[in-house]
Amino acid sequence: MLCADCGQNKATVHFTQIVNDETETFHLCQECAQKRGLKTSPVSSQVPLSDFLSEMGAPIFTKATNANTACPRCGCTFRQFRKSGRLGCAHCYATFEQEMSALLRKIHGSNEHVGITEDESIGPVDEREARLLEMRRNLRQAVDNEEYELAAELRDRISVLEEDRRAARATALESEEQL
Amino acid sequence: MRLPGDDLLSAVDGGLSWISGEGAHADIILSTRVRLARNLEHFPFRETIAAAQQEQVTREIIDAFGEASGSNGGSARRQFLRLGDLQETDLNLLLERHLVSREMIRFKEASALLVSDSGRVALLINEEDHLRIQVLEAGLQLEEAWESARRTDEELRRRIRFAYHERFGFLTSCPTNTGTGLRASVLIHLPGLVLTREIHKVLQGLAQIGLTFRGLYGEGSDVVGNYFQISNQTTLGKSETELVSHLNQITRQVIEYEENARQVLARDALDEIEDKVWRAYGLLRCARAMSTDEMMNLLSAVRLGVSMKLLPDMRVRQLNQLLLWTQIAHLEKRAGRALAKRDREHERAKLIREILDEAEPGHPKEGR
Ligand SMILES: [Zn+2]
Ligand SMILES: [Zn+2]
Repeated sequence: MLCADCGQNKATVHFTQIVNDETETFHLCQECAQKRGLKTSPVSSQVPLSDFLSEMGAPIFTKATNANTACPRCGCTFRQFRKSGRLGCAHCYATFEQEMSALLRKIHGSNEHVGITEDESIGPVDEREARLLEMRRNLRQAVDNEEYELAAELRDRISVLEEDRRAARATALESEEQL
Repeated sequence: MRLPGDDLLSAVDGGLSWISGEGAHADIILSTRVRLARNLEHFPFRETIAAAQQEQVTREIIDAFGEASGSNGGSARRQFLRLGDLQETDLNLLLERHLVSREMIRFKEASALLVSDSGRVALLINEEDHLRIQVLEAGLQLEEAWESARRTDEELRRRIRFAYHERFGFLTSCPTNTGTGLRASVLIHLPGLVLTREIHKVLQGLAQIGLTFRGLYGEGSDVVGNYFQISNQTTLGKSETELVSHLNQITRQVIEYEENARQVLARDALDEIEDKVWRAYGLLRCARAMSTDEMMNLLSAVRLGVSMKLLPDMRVRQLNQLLLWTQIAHLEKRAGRALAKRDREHERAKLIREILDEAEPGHPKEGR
């Protein structure tokens, strides 16, 4: 493939840019890419998100949040996100909801998920599994808070449930084999 | 023939099923991949997560997946690997097989891989996201790959709550994956479009309809072997089935363009093509040293020859073996030692001859 700018050299730099809300993919030679001020790592076909974010900082900034507002869960600030292009945790999406809403629209042309939802096509939730999951979570929290007595108690209860689960599975397998 | 590294991953044929060359259009489409990005609800993303939490993420996923495949078929064999425990060659072997990413190797202490051999399903753990569900299939099998990924996701969601937002959908570390978290791709061989200089138009067209593509790079920075990867660019605002069927439809169209280009070549330049194909075959058959880039380009011509029925006795499976088993880590695994460049090129040429020995298309004169 030839360079889209000069049409002379082989295109070795491929990148996607967002121009007027449209994504465009460019294929350039090293020289022309440098002229456009792009980093020329040979496999950079991904969206250079952090560059993209710092360029568009102004338009997506709302008055509600300033760059030093930190996510209460993980401490990540919007400034950090703009630099790294990566969010600190799931709650960041809620913390910077307006900014993310605008950014997602820029990236995807939409900010409304229409695919599979979190509960879709899941059958009845297994009671035992749900309790196990919650107890494991409580255990983690107890360990974090150095509540060791509680942690020990939770560990015991978890192992009882796990034993219970193993037994149930063994029975299920046996009855399958008998069929 | 012994598969290099089968001691390491004897139960992991699943991830290598594309080698069989048995999917639809397998001469043109090498493989189909679907992956879903997911994060566990109560853990921070990679930017801010602690090592101990990454270990908990790993355990929750193993646990949930163990349950999932248990309830599916009871005895589905699985293999679990912690990347931190592996030698460099083994890591690169997995990389060449597309079962781990460079990202995972960079953060190998926390990364793990769970492969199920019943499906072609791999769980890539503590990648950029906590979990990437990956399905690799032979040839063009987008619907099938999506169905496997969907089922795995659904089973996991019975036990794990993934990070999810009412409006934005599944939440990911990088906002380019938010929503469905779905990236579907095909690895496609387009020598006809390259030779007829039509490729540029096709690639431009793809970019305009929201698909990304990239060439397959060799040791240098040039695209080698006329292989391209086409995938969906956006993950939000369209349903998974829409994204998958759109890619499927466009891929079929590109296959048609490629087939048309080959017809043009057969009509206007059969002698040249035949010569090119047989020369490439001859070099692969006889050379005593072979670089990756040279091999990839020769293999492209031979693949075209097989597809156009100019090399009647070769199978797509052998083409795929040639492509994968001659990659650096595969060669080193086979040799049982690290190989310097020159050694590697000798070993590669030798292995190529061995694989070709299994299919001798006869003397060029009889090839017609
Ligand atoms: Zn140029
Ligand atoms: Zn956060």
